Formats: sequence, structure tokens, C-alpha cells
Amino acid sequence: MDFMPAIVAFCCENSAFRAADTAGAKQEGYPSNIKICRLPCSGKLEINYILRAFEEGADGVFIFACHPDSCKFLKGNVRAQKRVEHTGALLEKIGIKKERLRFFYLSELEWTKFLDLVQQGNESIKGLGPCPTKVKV
Amino acid sequence: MDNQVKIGVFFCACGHIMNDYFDMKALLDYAGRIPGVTYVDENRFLCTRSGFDWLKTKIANTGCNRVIIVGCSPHLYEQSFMKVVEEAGLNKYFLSIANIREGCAWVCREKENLMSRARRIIAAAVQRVSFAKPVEKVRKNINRSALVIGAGLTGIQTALELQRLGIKPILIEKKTQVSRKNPPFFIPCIEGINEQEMFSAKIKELRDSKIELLTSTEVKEVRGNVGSFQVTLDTMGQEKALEVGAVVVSTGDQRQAAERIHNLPNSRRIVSLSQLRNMFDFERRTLERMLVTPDKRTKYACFILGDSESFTKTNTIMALNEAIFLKEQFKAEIVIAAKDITVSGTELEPLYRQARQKGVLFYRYSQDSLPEISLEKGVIIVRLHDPALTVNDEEKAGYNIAVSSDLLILEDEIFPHEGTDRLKDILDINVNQWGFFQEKNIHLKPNLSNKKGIFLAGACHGEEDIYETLNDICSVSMGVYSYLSQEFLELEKKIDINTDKCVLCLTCFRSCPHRAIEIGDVASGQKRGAMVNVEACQGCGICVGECPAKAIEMVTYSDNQIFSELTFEG
Ligand SMILES: Cc1cc2nc3c(=O)[nH]c(=O)nc-3n(C[C@H](O)[C@H](O)[C@H](O)COP(=O)(O)OP(=O)(O)OC[C@H]3O[C@@H](n4cnc5c(N)ncnc54)[C@H](O)[C@@H]3O)c2cc1C
Ligand code: SF4
Ligand code: SF4
Repeated sequence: MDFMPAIVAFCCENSAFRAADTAGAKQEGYPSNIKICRLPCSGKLEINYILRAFEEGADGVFIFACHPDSCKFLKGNVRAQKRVEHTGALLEKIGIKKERLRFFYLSELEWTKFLDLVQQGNESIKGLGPCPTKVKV
Repeated sequence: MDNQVKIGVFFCACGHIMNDYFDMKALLDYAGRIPGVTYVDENRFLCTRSGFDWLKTKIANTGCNRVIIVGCSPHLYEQSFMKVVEEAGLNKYFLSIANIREGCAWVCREKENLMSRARRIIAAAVQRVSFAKPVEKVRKNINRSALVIGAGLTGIQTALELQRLGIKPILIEKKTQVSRKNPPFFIPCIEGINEQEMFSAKIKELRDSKIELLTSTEVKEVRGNVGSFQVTLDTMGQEKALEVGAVVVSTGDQRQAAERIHNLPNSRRIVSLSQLRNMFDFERRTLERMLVTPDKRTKYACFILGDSESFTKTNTIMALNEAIFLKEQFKAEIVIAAKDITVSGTELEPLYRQARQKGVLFYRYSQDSLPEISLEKGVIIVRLHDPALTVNDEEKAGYNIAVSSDLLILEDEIFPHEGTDRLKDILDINVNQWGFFQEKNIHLKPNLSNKKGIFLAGACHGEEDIYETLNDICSVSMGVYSYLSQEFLELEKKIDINTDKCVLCLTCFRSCPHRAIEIGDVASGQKRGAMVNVEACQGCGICVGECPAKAIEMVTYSDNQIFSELTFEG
């Protein structure tokens, strides 16, 4: 059977979480192996959430933040981006390719873009194969 | 007291939709077997009045103290369900929604994954809710008055509106008297409205309204938060302290002849848009001498728009208005050279048409050949390249029009009002890259600052035409009203700082975008540490993610709750 990567998408509840909702409501369908995790703001994303996801057996982690200058809380997206960059470097050190961690900007209305991004992201993680550190699952 | 977690899982069949996708009986069974779940039930339509009532009685009868709704997206009914849960006597955050419709049924193309995805969503919700902690509520009294800073058109009208809504406005102005903006503005295409009359009428209305107006007054200090700001005012050295519930900033913008004018040959025939506006009122004779002379030669006035950084909408409005005015009053030939005419404001398109009908000439120039201005024997020559007028390739380069102008008008530069940077520090709010006050969200919350209870109206958060200003006035008045008309402010304490862990590194203090972190004595004066100001905190969780000591917790999104969502088993 095809390899089905386990993916977590951290979504800001002001943008991507709604976009994912709309994408769902439009019944277009997206890869069902992508888990949506709601955050009050992408700025709430902590480094250990990403690490925990990999620990639990994720093959890829996506982070969706609001577009630059559009954060409801002014600077959350900037903070998130910095943390993701930092975490990428940490992951490399422990042997996880930083390509498994992807950061995207998305607004509430861009549900079609959401579909494209998760589709493409899913394919690229599939291309990378199972995460080497996978212990569980 | 019984501290045991008893979770009730309530499925909504959404009519019959869910049954089309899932084996509901299997899901109910599955939910019932999850540790901690004490009750499972199903309803056909949970989101109806009767559904809510059903839910309320079920919660009461079964003694559940945590609630899970398995149904549609939390965006649709989370708020309503929270209310029901609250009415049933539980904390409203003891609720979790398992979204198996938008998040599962309508997502999975592969039928075989449907059930496993649904099971995982339900399991995550159960875990999440079992970690839920109650969110404390804090009540605060409200001072039902508002400080309005800046008595321009915006300030005056906002104060009048607030008084009408039963909120006591206090209007302050740094000038010695409330006078109309000099130079005054035209209002595009509102026939029969005279700006001067409009402003005088407003001032009269203000006087009759008995609104407290303090001139020659500036703000010296502002402390506190929405509901009660402690303000110190400074009237020519004399201080006055008062308390208000909200603050409206309406300090406006400022115009200045663009830098470019100063680099041009010194001539009285080169002016800026606002200088020309002033000349209509005070130097009409000069204008007459320039544009109407006995020698019967056609006189030209030329406007250049868009060649500096500061090209804006109000510049377009003013140019169009002034062009029509010059045409009508002095019968001069008018040329408007623009890179692009932007007519995206209310009533601007008709104004543009009117100008064309009156015979104003419009030329376009391109980005790569900006107009050249020179002074030859006392005559201003403007050379342009209009791409629309090129016939063959050779003409593509170089200028193809020259206008010898008797009057040349260039655009204004628009700045925040002088003193804005001082005011921003006093109010502790942000400004954008151009120095204007920064909106909380330019699309969604254009009149809120980053601090709760401080509102932005008028041109102080970027230049505005009169229509936008009037919109601002309405939405700010309503915004203030919606805060101050409440009996008391009910705030939720979503952020919890563990003072034992806090190492006083100030990271949270610096990273909180709403300045909601305060440093002070904690643990009954034993120690200094970070504290959250509940009134200012907006619950974004940024500080939580930043704190290196992990001293901060967001009660509604605790780590354990997030981790609940991160398992792939099941
Ligand atoms: C020359 C000109 C022409 C215009 N023409 C048009 C037009 O034709 N059509 C159109 O639609 N719009 C036009 N506009 C735009 C229009 O004027 C604005 O939308 C409107 O004036 C904004 O008003 P305001 O009350 O926000 O600002 P203002 O009218 O500038 O009022 C601000 C007030 O706040 C006071 N103040 C500033 N700082 C402080 C402080 N720290 N403490 C206390 N008081 C303070 C100032 O003294 C001033 O009285 C024009 C603007 C200008 C300048
Ligand atoms: S970031 Fe954490 S440790 Fe630092 S001051 Fe704030 S609460 Fe204390
Ligand atoms: S949650 Fe956001 S607004 Fe509240 S204190 Fe933390 S950073 Fe500031």
C-alpha cells in the first residue's frame, strides 16, 4: 500500500482554521491524513508542540499563519515564523530534515489555496518517506 | 465535592447528514468506551432551541461535568453551546467540539478512512476536555465617560454622537480655539453643502450641547485600562486629573508642500495643492493676476500628480476640485498630468467625469519618464511623455508634450499630526511605518488600536476623505458605546503566570503586543515578577510561547490540551 504520511497542521483560528473549515464545507476533500490543530494565534505555537508532534509519529508538520501585517494580535505570525525557523535547525540536528516542517501564510478566505498547499505538502512529505525518528505507530 | 471528571458526549445527527457518512451507532459505542466518558447520547438537531433545551436537561440529569458536542465546526455554534453549558451551571470552557462534519465527513474522499478519522477527532476532544480548567471571571466597574483627543471635524462629531448615546464626552484640543481646518476642504460632489457652513454649524452644535471642551490642552499621562483610564491633562501648565472609560484619538493629519517644491526654481507660480486652496480664500487677487490678464492669451494651469512618494487619494480629490474651481472662476486652460488617476473613493468617479466635461485636459505620463519642469524666461515649461500620443517607434523616447504654465500645482505630502509620536508613548499604542496610528487589524478592526478601549477615528490613522471620516465617526461611537453601555465589564482570566517559575527575564513584557504584562510585587510582596493585566490581555498566547521558563500557561489552550490533538493512534 502507498505510504500515508501522518501530518499535523497547526492552524491559527482566525485564518487557516476557518479556511480549512470552508474547504471542508465546500466538500472538495483534502488528504484525510492531515490533522488540524487549532491555535488561538500562530504566535501561540511553541517549539515543543512541533517536537511533540514528531515524537508522536508525525512525518510532517505544517504551520499556517496569517499573512504578514495581518495578524489579529499584530506580531503573532512573525513570532511563529521565527520559532519555526529555529525549530527547523533543531530538527536537522537530530536527523529530521527541515523540509518536514513547513510554514505557510494563509488568510481566512484562501480556502482554495489551503487545498493546494495541503495537497502539495502531502505529496512532498510522501516523497520524503517515513520520518526516520518514528518510534510510535 | 465530587472532583471526578464525568464526560458527556452528545452527538448531533445534523438531520440525517451524519448517518449518510458514518456508522453512528459504532461511533456512539466507541465514545462510550473511552475512559472518563460517563454518558453518550444522540440528538437529531442540537443547534435548535429544543436541541439546546434537551442538552441542558441532559447535562443536569446525568451529572456530567464536561461536555463534548460531536457535530459541525466550532465556528458555527461553539458560542451558543458555551452559553448552554454555562446555563447548565458549568464553566463554559468545559466544552469541546468534535468537528466531524467539516473536519471529517466532508473531507475524506476515501470512505475507509472516515471512521478512523472521526474516532481520532472524538478521542482528542475527550482528552482535551478532561484537561480543561475553569476560566476565572473578573468583573470590573465601568466609567461611563470618554476622552476625545483632538477637536477637528472628527473629534467634534464623535463627541456629539457619544453624548447622544448617553456617554459623557470630554473633548480636548491643543490649539487655543476650535477653528476649522486651514485650509478647509471641499467635499466632492455633495451639491449644496458648503464646508464652512458645515463646520460652523458643528461648532455651534458643540457649544449648545454643553460638552466639556478644553482648549490649549494636551494629554500628559494615561494609565489604566478599558473601563477606567486615569488621565492627566495639561492645560498650559495646569494639570487636571480625571477618569474615563474609553479614549478616542482624533488628532488628524497634516499636509505640507512636498519636498519637491523646494528643489524647484523659486517661483511664486509654483505652489502646492493646499497652498492653492489657501490662495482661493486669501490671495484671490494674486491668482487673478496670474490667470486672468488683459492680453487675451489663454492662460494655463498645470497639476502634476503622482510623481512623488506621497501621491494619495485626498490629493486627487483636491486636484480635481481645484481644477474645476480654476476652470469655472478664471476660465483658464487646465492640464492635469498624472501617472494614474485613482478614483477609488466615494463620489470620486463623478467628480472626475465632471472635470472632463468642463474641459480639463488629462495627460498620462509613464513611470520611466517623469515630467520635467523648467523655468524659461519667467515661464514654467512642463515637458511630459504621454505614451498614448506616440505614433511611431521613434517617438517612444523623449517628451512629446510641453505645457507652458502660468501656474504649476504640485502635490502635498501628508504626515501624522505633529506630536503623534509623543502621544503614542503616552497612550502606549503602536504607529505604523509612516508614523500614523496603527489599527489593530486594518481589514477587520480598522478603528481599534492595539490597546483595548483606545479607538482611532479620522485621519490620525492614515489620510481619509470625508466619507471615510464619517464612517469612522459612526463605528467609533458604536464601539465606545458597546463597551461603556454594559453594566460592568466581564473579563476572562485566560492567562495564568506561575510566579514560582518566573525568573523575571522580561521576555513576556517585551513580546506582548497589547502591553498586558506588568511587572510588580507578586506572591504577596515576597518577590517581583510578571503579572497579567486581565483588562488589557486579549488572549493571543504569544507570551506563553515566548516565556523561556515556561511560567505562563494559557488556561484555554494548555500544553496538555494541545498534546491531546497530536496523537496518531486509533
Ligand atoms: C487641505 C485639505 C483638503 C482636503 N480636502 C478634502 C476634500 O476636498 N474632500 C474630502 O473628502 N476630504 C478632504 N480632506 C480630508 C479631510 O479633511 C479629512 O478627512 C478630515 O479633515 C479629517 O479630520 P480630523 O478631525 O481627523 O482631523 P483634523 O481636522 O486635522 O483635526 C485634528 C485636530 O486635533 C488637534 N490635535 C492634534 N494633535 C493633538 C494633541 N496631541 N492633543 C490635542 N489636540 C490635538 C488638532 O489641533 C486638530 O484640531 C482634506 C484635508 C485637507 C488637510
Ligand atoms: S517571560 Fe516568563 S520568566 Fe520571563 S518575565 Fe515573563 S513570566 Fe517571567
Ligand atoms: S496572551 Fe497575548 S495579550 Fe495576553 S498577556 Fe500574553 S501576549 Fe499579552
